[in-house]
Amino acid sequence: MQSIPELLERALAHIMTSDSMAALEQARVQYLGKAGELTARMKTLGALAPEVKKQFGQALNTAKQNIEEALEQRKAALQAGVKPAGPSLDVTLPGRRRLAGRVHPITATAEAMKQILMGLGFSYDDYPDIETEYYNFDSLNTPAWHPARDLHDTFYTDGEHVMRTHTTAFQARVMRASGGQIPIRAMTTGRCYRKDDIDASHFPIFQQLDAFAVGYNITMSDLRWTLTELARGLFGPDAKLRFRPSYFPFTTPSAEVDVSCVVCNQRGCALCSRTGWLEVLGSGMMRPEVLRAGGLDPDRHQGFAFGIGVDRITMLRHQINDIRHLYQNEEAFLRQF
Amino acid sequence: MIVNTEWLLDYLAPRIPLTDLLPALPRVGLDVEAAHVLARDLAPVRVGIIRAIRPLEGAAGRYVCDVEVARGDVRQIICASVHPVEVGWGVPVALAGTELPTGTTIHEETFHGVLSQGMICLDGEMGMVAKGTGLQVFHDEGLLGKSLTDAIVIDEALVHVKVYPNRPDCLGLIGIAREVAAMLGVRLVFPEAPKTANGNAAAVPVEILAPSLCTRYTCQVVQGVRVAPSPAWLASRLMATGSRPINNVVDITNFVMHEWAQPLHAFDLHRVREKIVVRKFAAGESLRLLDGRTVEGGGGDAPLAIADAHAPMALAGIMGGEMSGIAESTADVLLEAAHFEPTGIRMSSRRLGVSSDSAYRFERGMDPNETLDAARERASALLVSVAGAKAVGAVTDVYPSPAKAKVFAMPAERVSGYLGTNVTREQVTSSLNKLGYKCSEGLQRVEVPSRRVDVDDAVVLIEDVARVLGYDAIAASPSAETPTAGLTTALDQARGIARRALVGSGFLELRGVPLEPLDGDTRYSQLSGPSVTLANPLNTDLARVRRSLVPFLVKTAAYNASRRAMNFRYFEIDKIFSRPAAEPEEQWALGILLGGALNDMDWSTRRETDFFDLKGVVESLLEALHASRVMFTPVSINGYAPGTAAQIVIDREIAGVAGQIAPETLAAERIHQPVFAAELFLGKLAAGARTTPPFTALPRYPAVFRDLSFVVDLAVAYSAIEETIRVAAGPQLESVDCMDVFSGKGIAPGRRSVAVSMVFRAPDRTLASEDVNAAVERIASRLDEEFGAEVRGR
Repeated sequence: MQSIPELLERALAHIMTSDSMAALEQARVQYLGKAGELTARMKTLGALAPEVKKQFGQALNTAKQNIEEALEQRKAALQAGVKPAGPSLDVTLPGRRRLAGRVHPITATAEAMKQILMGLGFSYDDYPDIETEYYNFDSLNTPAWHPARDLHDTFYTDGEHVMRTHTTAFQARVMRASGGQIPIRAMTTGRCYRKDDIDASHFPIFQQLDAFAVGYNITMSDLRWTLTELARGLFGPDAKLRFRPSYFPFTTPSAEVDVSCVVCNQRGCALCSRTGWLEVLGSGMMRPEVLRAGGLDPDRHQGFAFGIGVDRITMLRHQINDIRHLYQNEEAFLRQF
Repeated sequence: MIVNTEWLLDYLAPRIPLTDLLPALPRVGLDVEAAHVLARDLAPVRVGIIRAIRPLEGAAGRYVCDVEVARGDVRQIICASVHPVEVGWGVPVALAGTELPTGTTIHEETFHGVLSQGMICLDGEMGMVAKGTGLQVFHDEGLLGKSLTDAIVIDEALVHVKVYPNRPDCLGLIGIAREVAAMLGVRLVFPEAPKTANGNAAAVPVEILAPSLCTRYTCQVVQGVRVAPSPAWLASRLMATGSRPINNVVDITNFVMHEWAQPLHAFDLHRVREKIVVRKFAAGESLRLLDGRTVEGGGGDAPLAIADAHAPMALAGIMGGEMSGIAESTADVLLEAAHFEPTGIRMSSRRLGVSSDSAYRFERGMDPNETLDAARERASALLVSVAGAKAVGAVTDVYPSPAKAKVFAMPAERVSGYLGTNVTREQVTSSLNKLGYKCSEGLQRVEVPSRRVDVDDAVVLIEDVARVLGYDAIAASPSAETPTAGLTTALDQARGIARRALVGSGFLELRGVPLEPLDGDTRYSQLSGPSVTLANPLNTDLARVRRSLVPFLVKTAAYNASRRAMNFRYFEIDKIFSRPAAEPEEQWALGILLGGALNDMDWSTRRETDFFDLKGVVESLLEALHASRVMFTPVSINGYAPGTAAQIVIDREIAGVAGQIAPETLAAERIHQPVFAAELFLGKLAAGARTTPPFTALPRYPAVFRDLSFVVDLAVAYSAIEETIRVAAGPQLESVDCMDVFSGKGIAPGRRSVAVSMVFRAPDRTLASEDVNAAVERIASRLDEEFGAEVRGR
């Protein structure tokens, strides 16, 4: 004779594979009917010693309850039209689902950079897209007569406001709001606007991420360390950086920073024009004029700053060859990331 | 600026190989846009042999040449007689379609009805410095069709560099050579300029009436020049770097400007009456410039003129006048080397819309001292040696208040503390000396050379030291500064939560363009005040800042629908803008668009989207953001189909809108299925992102479940029903959920059946059936009293 657990297992399997109400009724009769297998065991109880009888009786009752519950559930499932999981199941049919959602690659890239920089102690906040000329230019050592304003073709909304040409415009705002709490490590990201004609690598709207650190002891060497960590986080532990002299009105020394080519690992490819290096960001030590505009004292405070084109980094990370894809929002594009 | 390396090497000794010179340019701080190694980039130029030459009818000085460019392949090329050519000569030929390193692309062209299929290239036209007559000539038939780079050895490069606006001293080759010499440890060699003041011509007197605009004015009479085309070495240098040779006198002034950065001007001495007066244009005065345009005087900010005793002759620092320039008949020259204030030049150049190489340099700032003198001396020497001048007169020099040298202190400790790398006093001194600074008193006194107009603060000295040492000398090391925690804002966290919730529900994040067309859709917006418009847009398509994310979401749906992607689950998080008062305002918004099949990867059934799917998405999102007291109330908003839109109210504040896009809008976009959109103000949701909800004790006593089904008028809102149930049930009602809503067969017209499932529980005891039955009775009778509800199945 089978043990009770064996009987239970067989009964449950029988119930789960019953694919009609008739078959289910047949299963019920086979186990719980007047001459059913479980009923037959129940009838043997009377002949047992009292202590065995109690234990055996409980086990039989539990088994009976399980079988009854299984019959109920199977009945409900059959009424709802659920097919039995049996040999007729074609497991190769696709699962029933909806297509997964995706984060836009620009957001994903900006968030990746934010996470790394937060880990390095930089705090995040948002700043206006429609910015005053003062914060966008004057506070950044770029007064109206400055030739560097030629580098920006600026959209104006009225006499005093521009669509910010760079997220660097946040620097004096942060410093002024800091209430003299030093050190400051701050970052922001957002849209920037320039009067560029649209082509494969230019779009009049683009995203930047800017960060700066000001303290008593913050040096160009820290800048290099911070950017190296950022590059390693973004492009992998083998990423190398190269610093080249450059010019920005709001930093001196200024450095243009290249990262070792993410595609060819410096063996030379079309992406890096066989140079092994990709230009990724501008950086430098903050100008005394900028610190003063932020209410700080350049004789006591010094700091570094850098700005990154998020679109460009996104294109490099995914080897996207045309910036227009980023703003076209074609599903076939968005679903790749 | 275009740099020919062979020309640059004139100023460096010993000679540096290209492999060292080219990498040095970016190290100096020049932005190298393109570096054409000519031995590689002139490969498309081939040796062709001239088989016949005949004059081009109707064009004096032009010839039609039949040039064999490959065995049996003869092309017709028209050439000008700048350099004579002869039948049988092999010459460099660039056929149509070739792009030369100078940036010029050769096209097929027709002159006087005759087709020209290419160009016979002078050295300068290919970007090379001429070492002979200015044209490579071959007498070897065996070279026919060979690449020029196989026919001769070329050891030059043509580099297109961008000189940053802070370094106008590098707008001349000597400036660049000085930097390269410092980086590579070679010697800077100045060009020869023997002092040649030997004439006895009377010096021309100079008056500066606008000393704030003209700091210094020098001029010198040079007599007896023979105006003629420039020699090949000079003409090729100008051609290679993008200037058109004109005549030897003008070419010399251009050449020296390329060399020393200092712009010069040459007047025909006989056009200068009595004296030079540097003054503003007077009202009523006008001057026709070399480029044919006319400058008018008058007004408070009149441009600066170089005038003689009677009338303006040149637009100072920007462009010469047509009448006073060098002509073929010119014999005596008045050579000008002056210094103008950048701001004045910049303003005039901008206002008049006249730009020139000279204005470009002056508006960035030139050296009023040594460089100015060196350039004038070099030019007068060249006028003698190249243009055959017989005599050079004395210099008139008016310099009312000579510029004082700027002085800074730059101790080595300051450099080390700024760069974060230990730099010795010797390193600082030697680096600065190489760039022409004069260091003394143990670096307490560093005198800046006057050509370095960019050095307005001591930090520039630190940059110069860093450049000479090489930026790679600065090691990466972690901060010695106090650490800070990297924090973010509630709004940023709310964006993250919303993004994760929506992506988890199968939504695609879009990235829109915040600028929209002037005639774009202004509906859907919940903002007050007019839109923010751009005063100077790129074009009318990107002229206004958007005030709602919905138009872009709809456009994107249309774009993807036309590519057969019809199941829209989109969202975007971005700012929206308007001008409710004088100042523009911006705030963060979340736009959601939903349409098509909800279960797009289901092969068994298809579930179309309706309003409640959108509402469900919004509710889940609000739940993720811990929003409390959320209400949806009917609203009418332009753009949404009438009767389909709801205002989303959170804690009595309007937080957004959700509804169905008007079908006629969709039909115009060729979308023929219902589409739903919501737009939420993220700022109103941000507070919840930081909520840390307090724990409520878990229930210890069993619940009692009751379902209730009743029929009410269609006009009765479900929210009112639920509210009535809650009030009637009292505190033991734990939850009430809508189970089913049905109207149609078996239900009276104008009414609907609603079924709810309720859970009752007491915190301190097991509820008795009777307690719950009494509560259900109360609910049933309240529903009847308030809404005339007939309870079913009782």
